[in-house]
Amino acid sequence: MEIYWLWLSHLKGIGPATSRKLVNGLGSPRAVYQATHEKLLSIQGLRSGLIETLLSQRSLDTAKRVQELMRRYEIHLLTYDNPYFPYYINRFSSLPAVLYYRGNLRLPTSCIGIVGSRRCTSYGKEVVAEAAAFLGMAGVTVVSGMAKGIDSYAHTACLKAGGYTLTFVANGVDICYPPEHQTLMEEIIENGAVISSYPPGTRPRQEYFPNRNKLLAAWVDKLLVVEATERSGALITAKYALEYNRKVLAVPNSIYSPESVGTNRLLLNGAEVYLEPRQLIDNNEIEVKCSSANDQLSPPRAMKKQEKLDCTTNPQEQAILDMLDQPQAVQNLLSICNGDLSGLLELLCQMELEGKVVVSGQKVQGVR
Amino acid sequence: MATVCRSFALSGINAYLVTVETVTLHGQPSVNIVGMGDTAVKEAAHRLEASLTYGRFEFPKLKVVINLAPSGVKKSGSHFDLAMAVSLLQESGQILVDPEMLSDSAFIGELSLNAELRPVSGVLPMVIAARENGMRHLFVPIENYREASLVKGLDIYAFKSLVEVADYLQGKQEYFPPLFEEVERLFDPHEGLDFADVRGQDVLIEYIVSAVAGGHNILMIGSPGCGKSMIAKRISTIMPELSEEEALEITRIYSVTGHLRERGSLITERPFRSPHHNASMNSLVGGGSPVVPGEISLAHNGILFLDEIAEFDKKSLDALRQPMEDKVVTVSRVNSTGTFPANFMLVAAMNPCPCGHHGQLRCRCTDYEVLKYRQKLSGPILDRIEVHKYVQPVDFFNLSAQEKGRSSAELRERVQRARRIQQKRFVGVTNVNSNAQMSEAMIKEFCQLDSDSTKLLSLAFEKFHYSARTYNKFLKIARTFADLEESEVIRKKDVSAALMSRDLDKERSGMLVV
Repeated sequence: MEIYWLWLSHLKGIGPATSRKLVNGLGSPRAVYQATHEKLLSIQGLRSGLIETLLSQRSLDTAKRVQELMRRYEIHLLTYDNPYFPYYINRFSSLPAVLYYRGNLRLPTSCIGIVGSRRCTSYGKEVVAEAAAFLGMAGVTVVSGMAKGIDSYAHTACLKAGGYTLTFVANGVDICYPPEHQTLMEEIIENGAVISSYPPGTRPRQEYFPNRNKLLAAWVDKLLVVEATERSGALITAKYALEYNRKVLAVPNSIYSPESVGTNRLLLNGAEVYLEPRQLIDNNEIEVKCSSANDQLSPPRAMKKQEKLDCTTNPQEQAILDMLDQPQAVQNLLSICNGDLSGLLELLCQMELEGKVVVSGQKVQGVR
Repeated sequence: MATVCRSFALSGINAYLVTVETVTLHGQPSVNIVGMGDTAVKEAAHRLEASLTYGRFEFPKLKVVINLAPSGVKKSGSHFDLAMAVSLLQESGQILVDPEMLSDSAFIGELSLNAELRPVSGVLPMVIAARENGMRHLFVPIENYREASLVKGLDIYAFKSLVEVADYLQGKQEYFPPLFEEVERLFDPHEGLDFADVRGQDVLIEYIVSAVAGGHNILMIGSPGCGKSMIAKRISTIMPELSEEEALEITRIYSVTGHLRERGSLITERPFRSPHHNASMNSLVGGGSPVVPGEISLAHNGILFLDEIAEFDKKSLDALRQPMEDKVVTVSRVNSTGTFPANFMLVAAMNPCPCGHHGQLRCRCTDYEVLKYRQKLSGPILDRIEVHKYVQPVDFFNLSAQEKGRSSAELRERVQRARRIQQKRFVGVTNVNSNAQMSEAMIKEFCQLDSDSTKLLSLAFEKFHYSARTYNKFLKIARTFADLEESEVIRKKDVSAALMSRDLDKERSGMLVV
């Protein structure tokens, strides 16, 4: 059966809408392949040229080649009549009827899309890490696009929290793009799936991305846009999400940050303001599931502060903490220890292990 | 009977005795130089003809055959000229030298067309070979006199021209050793470099001191223009002073590679080599035919500074692994093999991420990109670099307020004290003279931790997910920090300081990657 699906999806001039019509009308793609002229005529609304195409192009060579690739990379076919294929996608006839995937699919459950800028700031990273880890723990599927930046962080944080994640790519699922995400992709295949509407062997091209975004937008229940520049692809996803009636949330940020021009504009146009991960899940639906995640991951930020104050600190430690309103070079803290460098290092090492400060390189930061 | 003179040929950084045999035979006038000489040797025929003619001699109108024995080994260089000329003069009866005198003498030097002597490279190893082969007199070009007289135990005769050599050999002229007024050093060896010029980097300098003291290699990570190169150039100023033996080793390498020709004296400062990152593998480790030492040997007993180490060819870098371990490198070619010393301290510098501003607000590199960039340095190379430290960009406007840094002399004193402790520790152990070279068993013996420090270490491992192989590195560095403060035992503060020496590993644990 698979080979006829591949044949049908590779025919020129036959898009997802026509494929659905043909398969619905004749019962299966094999029936379409074997159909006679009369049978095809019986289907309503087919252009006459199409029937010509169907009857003349019976070669299965392309399909066999793709099948070989699929076998080699353990790629599976997900067709629109499969129970794992979200039924609601079929409502939009322009969305693909045949998908390729690697990994393990789950029956359609609630899933949240997280998208954003490739070139993100550390603020964006922090937000996405918190949100995706929360969802991963709560057992909600995180959907994103495996691009650099926000997308990759969303997958990574979800996987690290033991969650399940789907990625939609704009190339064949045998190809890893961008290449530095090779290990990430392998991990996603292990604990989720890489999905594409493009047959294996397709290299990514600029014009493929909007289609990918469209599919992603239709697939998810809610979409969180973390950071987006003025002309970001994430905004295209958001546009489609609104078109498909999905709830769009956007992360507010400084109006001067170029990475937030897009998200702030989304907010202006009515997107929901994202303030905490809990907004991403439906309270009634998964309240129970996420209660544990709540405890572990999203302790109210005020509580953290309280905890920190409870720790006993000696005067020198306190003096260091007082200086850390903003990150300081280790060098600048020397005066606290009267220039005794090894003493200062010992103190900082101790404080870092106790979680009071973060020393990265030569910089010391306070813990928020 | 052929006339026999002696000269030397180079093989790697060693020289061996070459017998130059010359005969004149009846036949068509011609010059044949046999004995596997390269082009420079073959062309000596023309130089000989011209210099004999212009040096008031006569070139014999006979068939001349010159053989360089051992004849089966390839030879190269223009320094055989003098030996060939002397033997040809003797053979053709234009000079008369006592055969005993001739058999005790060796000749080095290139001839100009006007019969003047030109300096050559590789004189030091040749003089050493001369002494080893029992030569008593050595004739060299005057420019090579200082280099040749570094070796005691034989008479060095330095001349300006072939005529002078011939006159002396025949006893027509007395020999007066050339007088060199000691050139007063206008600059000190480090060209005025001093750590006192580096401000606002006290923390980093402390780690550099420990790296030098313990023989550890160091990697500096920092954004462009934060002072990595400035610091690297000053590291040799705090290394322990060269022993005479070390100085001779360096001079020998530099002599062979021709770096010594203009200076002609013992190298007394530690070399600092910083090859550009487009350097080929052969230029780094040595190569060519005949084999010559590469940058790592030129950095012997000194510093090899690889700026932008991530931009170096991966293969070239990996070729450094074995020399870093063994402190020597053996370069093999079909025709020749050379073993060169390569005991250098590796100082490397790189940007933290593709854009170079990791950790600052303007950086937009993703963690995956950062890791990919850092993976340009292979694991085994990173493994051999014990200290990874960030260089903090300094605040220019605040610099004037800061007091001058500590001087190189002061830092060197500390290094030398720590080195002395190590020498005492490793006395009797061959091939180990610094903490960095400690074997597993030695680490067990010399790096005992008290329970407090062990607890600290295990806490850190838990928190930052260090790999097991990092453990020994921490111990070695902690040992060095203890040595720097002349402490018999490793204290908690030494372990703390060591824990802060692996910035890259620590950062790795904080990255959001799978």
